[in-house]
Amino acid sequence: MLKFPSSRLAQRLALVVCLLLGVAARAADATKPFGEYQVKAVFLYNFTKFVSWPTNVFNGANAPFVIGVLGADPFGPALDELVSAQSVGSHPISVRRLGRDEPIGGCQILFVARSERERLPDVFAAVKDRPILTVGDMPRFVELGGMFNLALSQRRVVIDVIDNAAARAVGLQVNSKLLDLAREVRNGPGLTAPRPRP
Amino acid sequence: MNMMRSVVRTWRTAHSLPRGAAFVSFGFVLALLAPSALRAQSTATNLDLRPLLTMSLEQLTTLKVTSVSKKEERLSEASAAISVITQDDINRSGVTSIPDALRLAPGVDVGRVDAHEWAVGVRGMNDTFASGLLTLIDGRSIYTPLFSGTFWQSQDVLLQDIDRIEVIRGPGAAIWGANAFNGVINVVTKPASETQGLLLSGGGGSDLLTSDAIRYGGKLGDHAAYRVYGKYDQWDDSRLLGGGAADDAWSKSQGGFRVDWQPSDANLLTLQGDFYGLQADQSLPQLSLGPPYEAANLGQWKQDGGNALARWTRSLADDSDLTLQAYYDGADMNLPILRDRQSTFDLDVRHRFHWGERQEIVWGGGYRLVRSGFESSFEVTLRDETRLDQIGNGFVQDEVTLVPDRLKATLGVKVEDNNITGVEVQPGGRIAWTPTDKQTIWASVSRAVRTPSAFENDGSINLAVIPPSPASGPFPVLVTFQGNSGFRSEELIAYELGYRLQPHPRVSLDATGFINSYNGLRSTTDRIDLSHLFSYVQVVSSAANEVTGTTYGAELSLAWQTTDWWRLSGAYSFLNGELDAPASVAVSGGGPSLEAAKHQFSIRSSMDLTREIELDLWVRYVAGISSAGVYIPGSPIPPAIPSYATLDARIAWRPIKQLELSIVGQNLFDSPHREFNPSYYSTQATEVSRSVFGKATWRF
Repeated sequence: MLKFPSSRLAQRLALVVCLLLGVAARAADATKPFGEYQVKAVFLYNFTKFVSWPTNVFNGANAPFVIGVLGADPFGPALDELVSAQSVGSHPISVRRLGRDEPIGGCQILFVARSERERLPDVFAAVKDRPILTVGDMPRFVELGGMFNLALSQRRVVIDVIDNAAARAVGLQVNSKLLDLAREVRNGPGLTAPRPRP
Repeated sequence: MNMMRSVVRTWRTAHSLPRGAAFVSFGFVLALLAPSALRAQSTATNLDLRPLLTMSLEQLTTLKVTSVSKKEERLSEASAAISVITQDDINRSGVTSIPDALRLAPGVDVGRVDAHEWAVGVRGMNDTFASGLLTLIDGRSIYTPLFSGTFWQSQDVLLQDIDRIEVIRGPGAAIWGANAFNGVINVVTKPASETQGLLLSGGGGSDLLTSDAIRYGGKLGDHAAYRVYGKYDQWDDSRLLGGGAADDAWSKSQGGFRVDWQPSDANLLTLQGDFYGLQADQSLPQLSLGPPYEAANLGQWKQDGGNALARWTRSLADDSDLTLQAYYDGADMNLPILRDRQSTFDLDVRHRFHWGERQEIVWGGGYRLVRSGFESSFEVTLRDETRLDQIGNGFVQDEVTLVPDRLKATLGVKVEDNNITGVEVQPGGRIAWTPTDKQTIWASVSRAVRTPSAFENDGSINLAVIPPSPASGPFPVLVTFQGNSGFRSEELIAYELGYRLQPHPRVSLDATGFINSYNGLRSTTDRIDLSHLFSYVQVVSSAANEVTGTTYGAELSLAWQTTDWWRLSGAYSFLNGELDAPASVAVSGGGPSLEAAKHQFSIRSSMDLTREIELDLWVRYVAGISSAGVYIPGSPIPPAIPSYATLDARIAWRPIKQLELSIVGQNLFDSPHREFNPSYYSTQATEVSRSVFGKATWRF
């Protein structure tokens, strides 16, 4: 015969836990902070201000500054909304989503979504030697060839690693303010400079 | 919603008993959360984003955000022996099943029993049944409580949908629970947003005759993505020990779906389900008390089943999140010697929050109901054929940052109450020290239990009938394994120590050592039952908990990105120990054994020869096992398994971006080898031999 009495305790335990959690959820649902990708979108916007591109990447004084998003777009409308009325100098910022079969290019910043994790070697080969700032938010993004990697640390968006050497190699100048903010800056083979975390 | 209704309907009609209590509380939590979720904006952008534009960089890095992505703890900081097998590892190594993929992690013992069965264990004590390994797919347990094991042939996913397999050696964190005894294997599939478009895959070879799959992923509006898939695999007979074809060919069809819906930045809802049907040839024992006593009967193993899972993660203000998960898993297994219909209903709730600047607490609870309907036979019997097993649990874990970024301690405990052994308490503590950014040293002590399976509690299995002979007597001898309600949980106290080092940006090392102190491991006590004298004599081996002992070992792994196009990885595991039973207990089969190899070694080379061509080579060595599998008296199968070495090779070519062609050769060192011994319901020992497999994958 199976014993049931102790399972009644189990049921009551489960019921109590559920009730407590329900109450906790309700109480904690106060102010609404920003979403992870809304803040990452603003980081992309800030990169346009703190990185400089060689002047010859633009076809004209009023040619758009393009932020490309490759792969499964995690931003939704947030990125477009943020940059809709912004410019880099005389170049209005526009956002372009790159389809799977499109050639990669025609942008100054390329955000590589997590869905492209297994295609990274192809992606970086396509942008090699071109003045395109590659930004990602997946583990080992910079080790595999990217330039900037964003991460979450204790619920805050941080710049995890910047590969300054790779950026300089294609003519991009990264402002020192941005370098100071990154947790780790790579200046070339064997010269990694991790920063003491505050 | 329809799915939830039908789950409830099925559940209600299943039993008239008031199991609804747990459902009511689950519904209550839903009711509390749902209005606030629905109130949340349908798009994420009604929230005014303009303040973000005026913030400085420094301010942006101090903003706390809502996120439903799992806390992606840097692997280097984890204070447990954890290896992650990535999709890239699975693809490049050419493996065709989850158990074969598990060979990529150190410390995992994988033995192919026959074409459709694998024995998988961690740190010894491997057995097709009772390996004490908690196995999960996306949070759903795939461990069968009936037999204390995992049927890898039926619990399966489309390999290309796997994001990663997390292998935790040792009793996991306290939050995993009972049967996370020697380790935890968690298969995590990709979110639907990462499997978009059409994927077609077709292949076949000498062993795996056909393997075809189709998967399509798309979007549902702006905030949801889905995928659906179907696959079919057909395997040939493997090789009998000594030569000839075994009778273990099988085939399986499976399909499923997944939907991920993110209505706002703070809410993520996932719905997924699979269903399958398989049939396998199986050579089963046919026992009788008259001549011919023992015969082999070629029968069919038919099984079909399915599962459905719903998970809701809600990110709350102040750095916390809440996860609710419910799933159903059902299977109908049909063999000539047994029939089992099983359904599992499971509810889990988990809340994670920060308390002060230095503590992160995870707590929660769950309830699981397993309903089984069993049909016995002479060979396999369950006394209580209709079973209702229930487990309730509550857990709490506190991670304390003693020195920011340098020293972290974690204390946790899980309390479970199950209807077989009552209350089980599993506490654990761990500490991690990160002296520099490139090194972590961690240590842990934990207690874990393996609860009895339905068979150990209530079943009996007739293992053999020894025909009358001058040696055994004038009557046949029936050997029976008898489970009994006195069989308690097995207990483990594990002491572990680990070290992770990244001496160079391209090199990473991981070393772990452990000492496992076991108590109450399963033994059998034999007694002779003469109550049927003049028909037969019965030897009854009753399950008892008389084996104790200590095992110890180490696992080392190394990853080296030699150049941009060449990656080397290697793993070595060592296991040794002593298990004892008191002299007064007759232990059949020559004594308890570790049932796993003392040494295992693997080295893999992954090369991108050109942008279109990949070459992977994988060499493995597994030392001999002194005794593997259940000992069956009179069986001609030698209990000891000799050591073996294998070589797998894969070449892949991508003539155009969308098409990948690959050829995989497995077990290329031409010596067919046995990897494990069959369990009681199979009469054949098989060998793994050289095989080749070709595949084409087209993505649109």
